[in-house]
Amino acid sequence: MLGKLLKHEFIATGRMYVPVFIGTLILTPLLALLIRFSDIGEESNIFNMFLALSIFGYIMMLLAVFISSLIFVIIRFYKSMTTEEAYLTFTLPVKTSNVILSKLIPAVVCMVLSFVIFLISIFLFTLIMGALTPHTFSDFWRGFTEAYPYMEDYSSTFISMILVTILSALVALASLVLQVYVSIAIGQLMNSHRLLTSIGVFIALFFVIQLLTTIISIPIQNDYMRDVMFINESGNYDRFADVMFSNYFFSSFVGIAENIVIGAGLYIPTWYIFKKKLNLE
Amino acid sequence: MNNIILEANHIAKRFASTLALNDFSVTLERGKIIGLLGPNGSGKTTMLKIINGLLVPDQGTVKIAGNAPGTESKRIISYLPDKNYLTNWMSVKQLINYYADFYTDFDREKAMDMLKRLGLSEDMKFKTMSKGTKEKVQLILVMSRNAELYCLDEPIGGVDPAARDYILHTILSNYSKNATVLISTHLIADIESVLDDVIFIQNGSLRLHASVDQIREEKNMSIDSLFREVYRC
Repeated sequence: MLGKLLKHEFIATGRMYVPVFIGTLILTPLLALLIRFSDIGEESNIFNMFLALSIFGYIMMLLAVFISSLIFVIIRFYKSMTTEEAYLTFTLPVKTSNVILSKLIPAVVCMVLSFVIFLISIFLFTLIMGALTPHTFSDFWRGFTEAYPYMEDYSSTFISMILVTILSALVALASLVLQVYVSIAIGQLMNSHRLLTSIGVFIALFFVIQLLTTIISIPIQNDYMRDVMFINESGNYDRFADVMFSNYFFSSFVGIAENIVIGAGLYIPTWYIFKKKLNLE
Repeated sequence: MNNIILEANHIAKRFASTLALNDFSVTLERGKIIGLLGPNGSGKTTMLKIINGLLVPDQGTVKIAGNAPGTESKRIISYLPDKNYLTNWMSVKQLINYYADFYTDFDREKAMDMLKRLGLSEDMKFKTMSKGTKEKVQLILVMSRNAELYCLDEPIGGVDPAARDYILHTILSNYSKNATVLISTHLIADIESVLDDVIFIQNGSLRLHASVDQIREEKNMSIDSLFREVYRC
């Protein structure tokens, strides 16, 4: 049944995200062209105004891609889990855990896609602005091949860094989405002021989680600083890259572990509330 | 097969200061059409929501074919809430596919047939329908399942009298002999003729649970008249 739930959830979320994605991909070249041709290098009020407006428009659009992706996650979960639509959600013969998972997975996927669209937009923008030419790519490639012998020792380290970074981002996103879910779940326990309660819970959780993760990161960063100081004093700079990489990996793994623990800590009450304390209006 | 489809024991549910259900117990047999009757705010909707697992009672237990509300019970109950609970942006066709995907007992042909009878197109979007049309579509989806227990919350409240007749006819003819239909309503005169049993609920407690024939024989009055007498303001 998880498969069917996912199918319908992807359709329901897709209808919100796809127009934003398409809109971004259409507006990016339009705005970039507008900026490029308004910038005629002369003092002209009307062209300067165009320029300023289109640059402002482009930045707002990129911001909107990010904000909307989080807002869609909130709307979708709130509507389908606590409003009239929840009457259908919770009378389907499916497990509560599957219902939550079927919301979480598309939410994370769509947020990742939003980021991909963001990158594509930036790439298109720079391409059209003339900042990227075939030269840029060949220069980049030449630089890369020249530098490669020096980086070869670290190539596997770089690949693992990329993988670890992607994994960190995914786990962090899932944990953020679950933070939204648990806030909505707690809000629906109330008989009034549900939305206000949800927002309050979200803000409170945000601060508590920030505080905890900062406290955990202090000793790690202290160790790192001590190692860096030690290298500085001993003058053994060859070790610097190793220390930097190992710090990156170690703090990433700690971050992933933290987010898994936090995610579980947010998921379990969400599941419990929707399974045992459902309180539909 | 056990002849009891639903067993509710000493259910209590409180909302803030009001006691919506108070020590409510009832047992329903298979193969009956039962009216859950009571004035506004007497606890009818709360009881149906508890049966369907949308509310958890403060006290007491509910068993549907021996199971507490959960995946198993949801498989065999077809529930019509008193709300427009369907996804707004979907067309009738998409809604039918949705139901068919999740409910193995959904009969697509039955649904298409009823749509045709009520002159509804499957391309209509739920969002753009009138209140009464929405109710018709919801009822068609709910009644197109071959469920063991149908819980209908005010199924005919918003529809015109002609459609009302057809819907009652549908309720009567479309369910199998072993299925039970629990209809909550205060439009008693309209549905009186199809009911086997009635449950009177008052201030969250069971007031009366009897067969319609028994009431007619013993009291020599219609359910509608009895209702007006019991709940006289």
